[in-house]
Amino acid sequence: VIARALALAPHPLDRGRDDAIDQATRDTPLSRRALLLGLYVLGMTNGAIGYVIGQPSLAVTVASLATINLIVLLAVLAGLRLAGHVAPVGCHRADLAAGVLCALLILVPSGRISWAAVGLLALYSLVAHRDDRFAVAAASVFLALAFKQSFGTALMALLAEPLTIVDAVMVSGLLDLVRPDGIVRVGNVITAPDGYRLAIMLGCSSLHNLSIGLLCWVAITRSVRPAWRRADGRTVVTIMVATVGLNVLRMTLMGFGPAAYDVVHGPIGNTVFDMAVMANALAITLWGFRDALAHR
Amino acid sequence: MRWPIVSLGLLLVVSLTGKLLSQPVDATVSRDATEHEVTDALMARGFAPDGVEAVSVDGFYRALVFAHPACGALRAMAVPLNGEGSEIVRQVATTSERIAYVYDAALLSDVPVMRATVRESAIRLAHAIGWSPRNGRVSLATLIGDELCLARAAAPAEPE
Repeated sequence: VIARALALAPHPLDRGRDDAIDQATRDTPLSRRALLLGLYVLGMTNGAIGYVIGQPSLAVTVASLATINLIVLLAVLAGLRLAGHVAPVGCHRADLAAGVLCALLILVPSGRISWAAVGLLALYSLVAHRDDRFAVAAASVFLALAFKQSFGTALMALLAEPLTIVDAVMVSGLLDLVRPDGIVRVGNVITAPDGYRLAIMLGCSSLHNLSIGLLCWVAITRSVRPAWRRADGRTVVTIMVATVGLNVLRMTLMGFGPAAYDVVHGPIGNTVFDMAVMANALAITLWGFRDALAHR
Repeated sequence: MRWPIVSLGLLLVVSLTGKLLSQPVDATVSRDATEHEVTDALMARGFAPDGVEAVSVDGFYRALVFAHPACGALRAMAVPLNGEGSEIVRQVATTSERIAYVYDAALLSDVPVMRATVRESAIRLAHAIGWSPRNGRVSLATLIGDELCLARAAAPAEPE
């Protein structure tokens, strides 16, 4: 049903490719499109439920829907739309084996594992279905989603201290420029001459925000243009630099004292920052896309 | 063509039921559980609770103060397992104090990030599918005190 619904709207770049697919392969009991779509939907539904259950309150969940999770939702829709255009050829044995493995992982009662299952299926599709640009594009979006929701979190847990120290080095460097009154940094803790201390924690790390910015870029770019291009690299680097810059600027503002910290780190400050990250990623993505179109 | 839809439908019902019945690990709940555990262990070794020191403005980081008639004061903090709070602990300690991380019934000089994160994640998963009686932790206990107090904390519990 989902496959049919999403396949109703033809993709602008899907130039009559489906016509070339032999009718016999369309009539196979389970198509690659249906398998991928079904498992992506299943994995993401489980991941989303796991995420909501893990939130401290309904208010936090609703607040996150307005910013970060808006990008996640956008990526989910983009990924499903792309997966809806995967060639409806019959599944190979390897596809079925990958599907069964993914299904078993989804059964584990953990939202993160469900996202990891989506990521592993996307990784498989990226390699095994590389002749199908829509499968590759959908897999790119789902891999980025899985990185933000699962793989990235695991990586950050293992590398928390070095990651926060890198951020602290950048923040103390910037603070030194704007308040040259003797900022001292030890590890991920920055101390001002008046004794005010700012500890950079994992939730504020640049890697966390990078995954959001890149997810936004992948979702939009692959939706409009499924195939990868060399010029994409420039846009990715620009998004990374701008996102890290925004994050470092935000943490530097927190370093001005308890009053500034309360404003920047409070609920309003957090929402404004999340929106800034989203707008920044969106603007650079659109700029990069327009640039690429101009070259055509 | 019906069997794939039926299979996916069944999978959806079973997997979502599992998610709804699972108990996620909350950082504050894990911190409180770790604090209770370390309090019980220290009290069994002759330490008495002597107050709480706030360490961070949000109240998440705090040090429980204990006193012992033979060695003086010892502080205990529950910090995230991933090591992001290690520097905070180091700055809480004075020059004459030593820091010991308590994990797996041993006192360690560094946070066992890799080992503990992987092990606790595995325990969390095992607990979710009913294979483990306890849920995984996201925090571990840290003791801050002089050599004598840390030695007492590491000693076997005193008989009642």
